[in-house]
Amino acid sequence: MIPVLIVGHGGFADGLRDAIEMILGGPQEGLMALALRPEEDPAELAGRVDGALSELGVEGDGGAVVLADLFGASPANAATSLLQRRPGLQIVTGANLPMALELLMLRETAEAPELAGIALERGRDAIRDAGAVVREAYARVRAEMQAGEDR
Amino acid sequence: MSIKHLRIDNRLVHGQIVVSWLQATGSDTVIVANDVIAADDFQKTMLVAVSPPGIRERILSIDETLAYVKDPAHADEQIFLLVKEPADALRLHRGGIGLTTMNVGNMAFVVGAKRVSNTVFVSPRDIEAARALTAEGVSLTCQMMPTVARDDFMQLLAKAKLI
Repeated sequence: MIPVLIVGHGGFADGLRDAIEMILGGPQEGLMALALRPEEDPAELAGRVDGALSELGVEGDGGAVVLADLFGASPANAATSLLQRRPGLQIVTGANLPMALELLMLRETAEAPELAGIALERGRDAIRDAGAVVREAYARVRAEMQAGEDR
Repeated sequence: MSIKHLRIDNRLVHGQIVVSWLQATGSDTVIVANDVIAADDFQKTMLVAVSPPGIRERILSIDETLAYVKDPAHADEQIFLLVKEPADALRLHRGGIGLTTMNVGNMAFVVGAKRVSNTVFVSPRDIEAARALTAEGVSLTCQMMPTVARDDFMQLLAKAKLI
């Protein structure tokens, strides 16, 4: 099973993990969340990310997926800075709940690179204009009802 | 008719259902059986519009649900049935849905409801319907997620000193 580490600013990582656990029904094995706190030196974060990965049992070129909140920001950079020593890391930014759920459900059958690809795809597809979806559907229903009444 | 699962859940279709239950039960059709929603064109449209991809979703009244599942035209569908409360499950049972097991998922707190677990609260009306269901041969389980243990709902009520 591929370990997953969520990193982000403030309460993001814990919040995402909390939401995952609410939907999947409890604590997930091999899943950790790590926060960059306002008072923390970002330079120290790489060390903590490294430590968390070791705690998750990821050694050397072992595979793991890091979900980071923001591309180019300290939490994501802390993860990418480890790539030389940990070439098996997959680091996906713009972390969201749909991609995290997909990852966690597929990580027993897929390897880290494949999982990262799935996460990217699922994370993008899940961004929808729900208001427009419902508004358009309801407009269609109303039009059909109107047509029915006119007939 | 092939009903894979009946879940009593006041949240109806939600994250746990979409992410875990449909797959775990091998369902391809979700029926939300609820008289109030079935009579509300906006809510009905909304639920269908946001239904999970690849899943057929129907919003039906209790009577329509009974007709739907008994219709041979739907014989190939693998149905996941959702109702809001035990009283609706009882109506389906008495209407001949023919299930021997039903599952209680989330039941949010309402005024006057008593706590059974973190996610299940029951009103006297719920308890009455649950008693009737068990008396009529339906066993009620309480299972939040497909991967966790299945509890006996009546035992949970007894443990909470509600029956």
